[in-house]
Amino acid sequence: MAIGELRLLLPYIKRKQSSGLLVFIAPPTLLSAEFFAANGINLERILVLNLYRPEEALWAAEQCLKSGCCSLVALWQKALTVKQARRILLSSEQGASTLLLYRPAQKASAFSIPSSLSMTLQPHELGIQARIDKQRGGQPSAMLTIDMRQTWPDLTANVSSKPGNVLPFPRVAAH
Amino acid sequence: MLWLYLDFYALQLDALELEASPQAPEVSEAQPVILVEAKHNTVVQYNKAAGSVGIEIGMGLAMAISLSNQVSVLEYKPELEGCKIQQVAQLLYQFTADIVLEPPQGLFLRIDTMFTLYHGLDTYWQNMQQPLGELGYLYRYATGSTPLMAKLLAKTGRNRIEASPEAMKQALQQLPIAQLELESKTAQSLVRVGINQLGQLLALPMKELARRFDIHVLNYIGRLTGELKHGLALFQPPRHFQAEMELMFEVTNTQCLCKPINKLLKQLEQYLRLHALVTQSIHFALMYRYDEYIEIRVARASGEYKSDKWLQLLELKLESVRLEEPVVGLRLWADKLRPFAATTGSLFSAKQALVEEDELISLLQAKVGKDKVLSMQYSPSHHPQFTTELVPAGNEPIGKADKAQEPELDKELVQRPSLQLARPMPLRQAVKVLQGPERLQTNWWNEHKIQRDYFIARDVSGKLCWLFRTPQKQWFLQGYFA
Repeated sequence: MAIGELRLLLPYIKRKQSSGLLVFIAPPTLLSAEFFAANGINLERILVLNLYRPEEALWAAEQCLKSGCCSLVALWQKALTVKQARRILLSSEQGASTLLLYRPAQKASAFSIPSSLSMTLQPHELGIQARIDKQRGGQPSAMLTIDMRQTWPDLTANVSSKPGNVLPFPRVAAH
Repeated sequence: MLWLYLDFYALQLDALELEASPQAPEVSEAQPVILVEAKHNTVVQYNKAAGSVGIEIGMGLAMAISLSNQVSVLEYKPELEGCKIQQVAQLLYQFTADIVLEPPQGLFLRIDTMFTLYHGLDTYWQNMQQPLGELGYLYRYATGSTPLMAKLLAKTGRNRIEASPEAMKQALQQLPIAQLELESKTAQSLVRVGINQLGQLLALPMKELARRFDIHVLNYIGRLTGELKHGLALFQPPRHFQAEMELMFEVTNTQCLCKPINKLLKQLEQYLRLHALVTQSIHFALMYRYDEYIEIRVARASGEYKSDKWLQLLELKLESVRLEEPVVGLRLWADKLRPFAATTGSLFSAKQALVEEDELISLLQAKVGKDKVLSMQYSPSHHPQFTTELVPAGNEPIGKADKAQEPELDKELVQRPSLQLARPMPLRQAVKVLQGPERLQTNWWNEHKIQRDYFIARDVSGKLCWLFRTPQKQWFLQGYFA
C-alpha cells in the first residue's frame, strides 16, 4: 500500500465523477481533500464512509453500488469471501457502478475471487509496476512498468536503467 | 357573510370521558361528575348522571354535593380546553378554510366562502357531520351574519343551520339582555329602563346609546349587528405533526414494533400529503412504563412524506436499538416540515438512478450513524493538519451547493499525499529521500504553531512517504502518496 495505487487510477476516478458519487469506504488513514482538489476532482462528489467493521463496510458498499447514484466505490478491505465478492459484483452490475477493492498482495494471491479486472501492483522508482492477473475478455499480462515521471516528477526517481516494457502515464486513449 | 359558531359546552368533561378511562377510573356513565370552577366554586359542567339528580350549571359546590353524595368533583381547567379546541380546529381545518379560535370552548367558522366547494349550505353541513361525529364532543351551534350573532344564537342552543338573515335577526331580537356578554352592571341598567330584549336595544338610535353607555357597549353592539368591523385572527394549523399510540400489549422485540410504527407513519403521510409538505426528520419515542422512554430519530435531507420510505429507514435504525424494558406506547413527532417540491430526474440519461443521492445518504446514516457518513471539504491552510475537513454528509444537497461560496482554490496546488495520518508519527523505518526539503512555517499566531521541513521519501518497502523534520532534528511521518 501507499505505492501509487490511488494515483494510478486517478484518470479513471476523474472520468467517473461526472456520472455519480465517488464513495470511499474505510480508507487506511485520513483521505486528503487537498489531493483530490489538486487533481481536479470535485470534492462535492465525494462521500467518505469511515466504516471499519467489515460487515458494515460491505453492507454500505453494496447499498452504494446498487443505488445507481454512485459511479465508483473504493473499498479497503483485507479479506473477502467468494460469496461476498459475487454479491458485490452483482450489485455493481445492478447499479452500473464500479467497485475498486484494495487489499494486501499476500491476501490476494491465496485464491481468486470473481471480478472483472484483477491487478497486482508493486512499487517502482519510475512510478508503479502493474500486472494484470485476470480481465474479463482479455489475457493476463506480464509485469508492466508505468512511467509517472511526467505527472509526478517529485515522486519518482530519474534512473537510467529502465526495465523492458514501460508505459507512459497517463496513457492517452486512442480514438 | 355567514358565520357558524360551534360551542363545545362540555369540552373538558367530554374529553375526559372519551379518553381511555385508566387515568380517571372514577369517570363512568352512571357516576355523577361535575366540573367546578375554583374561583367561584360553582358547577360549570356536569354529565348526564349529575343532571338527573338535579345539578345545574351555576350551582354552588355545597348545593351540588347535597343533592347526591356520590358526585365526584373535578377542577375545571380552561387551559386544557384551550388545547382541545386547537385539536378540534385542526381537524375541522380539512373541511373549512377560515376558522377563528374562541377559547376555551368555541370556534367561529366562516362558511359562505365554502359553498362553491360544497354546492350549498346543506351539503356543507352534511360534510361537517363526519368530523364532528368523529370527535364525539357535545356541541351547540348556530349561524349568524356576524360572528357574534352566531355565537349568541349558538349559546341559546338554537342548533339550526340557516342562511336567511331575517330569521336569524328575528331570533336575535328575542334574546334577553342577560344573554349578552355585557357587564352585569350595564345589563342591569338596561333592564331598569325597561329594555329586556335585544330587539329593543337595537331599535334605539346609536347616538342615544353613546350618551348613556361607554364605548365597550357600542363596540359590542356594532360588531353584533355588523356595523363595526370585527377583527379576527384566522386559525393557522401548526407546522408540526405529533401522533401517539398505546400498544395493546407490551413489546420487547424491536421487529414487532414495525407494524404499529407503520400505522403512525401512515397518519403522518396523510397529514403531509393533505398539506403538501415533506418532513426532513422524524422522532420516535418508544415509551416504557412509568413515563420513561427512548428516543430514536431518522433524517432525510431532501425531505420525504411517504410512509414506506420512512419505515425503511426506521427498520434499519431499530436494528441497533436495544430495549431495556417492554415498550407500551409510541409517540411520533415531526417538526422539520417544509413545502413539497418534486425533483425531476433525467429522463434520457443512460442509467436510471434507482435511489436518489440524498436518499442513499439518509439510508447509510440511519444504519451506521451520522458521524460515519462524511463529505469532504477543503480549507485553504498551510498547516497539513487543517486542510481536510470531514463533515456529516447531507447537510445540504450534494453537488448543488452554491458555487460562489466555494473557497477559492489556489491554481497552483502542490502535490500533497492522498493519505494523511491523523497525527504525525515518529519515523521508524529507513527511507531514501527523493525530494525536499520544503519548509512550512505557519500558524505562529496560535497554539498550532509549526516549523517543519518536509521531504518526500521512499521507504524500504517501496512506500512513498511524506516526512518532516522539526527544528530539533526529530523526524516524523505525516502521510503517504498512495
